[in-house]
Amino acid sequence: MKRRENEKVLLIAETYWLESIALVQDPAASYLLDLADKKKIEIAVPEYSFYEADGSLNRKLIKRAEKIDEALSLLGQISQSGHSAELCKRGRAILKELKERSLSDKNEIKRVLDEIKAMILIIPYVSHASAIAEMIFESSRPPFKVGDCRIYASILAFIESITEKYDRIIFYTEDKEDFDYAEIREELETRDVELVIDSGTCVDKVIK
Amino acid sequence: MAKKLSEEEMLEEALKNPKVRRVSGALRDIVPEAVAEYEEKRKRKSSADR
Repeated sequence: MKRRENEKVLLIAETYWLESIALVQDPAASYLLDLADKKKIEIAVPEYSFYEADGSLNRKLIKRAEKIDEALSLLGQISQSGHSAELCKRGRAILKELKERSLSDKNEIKRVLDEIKAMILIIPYVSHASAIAEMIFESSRPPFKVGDCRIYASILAFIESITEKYDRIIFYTEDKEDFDYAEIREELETRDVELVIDSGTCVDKVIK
Repeated sequence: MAKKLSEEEMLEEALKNPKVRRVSGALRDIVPEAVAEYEEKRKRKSSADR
């Protein structure tokens, strides 16, 4: 179905979309952000997705810092044995500098997520959503991973609370594996929300 | 109806926006481990689609 003139579109995205923008400069994902910034569409992302992206990206930095610590300790031990002490000292200095850089990398992650946040709507993770997430997780219905249950539940709670009138609401995710289930599609359909599993299709649906 | 844009045109259009330019691909070189993980996820997705 083609979009009508002045149609009001709400696009709900999740963690994958944030990663598509910040990590790989996915054209469709970045284009959708531009459309949101120009107020041609509205994009809403669960607050939980921002925490999920922040946690996942920062854990990579922590792992890196741990590896640097191991290398520092190893070089320290080698230099104490009297072998290549000067080379070890230089190696340790480089590694220490790398470790210090982690702090600015951490700040950069925060900056990027905050700047995306400022261009879109944030779906809060409210206690009602948390209760729904817990029940979905304990049940036999999808999604099955705890993080996905929290994202999905906050979207359901958000849809219930929307007071603004939208002509079209789309839930866009690339995570086919975790969200593309008949139960989820049906549940969203009853709330007039369409599930779209591809950024290109998503762009086709939101542009006139 | 607006003309359908190619991926290159979409990116070009998006990057005209300084706010998008500041975030698009901004963490690519900072967290390459996360990029590798993302690419792996994407590969799995495209093979599942086939």
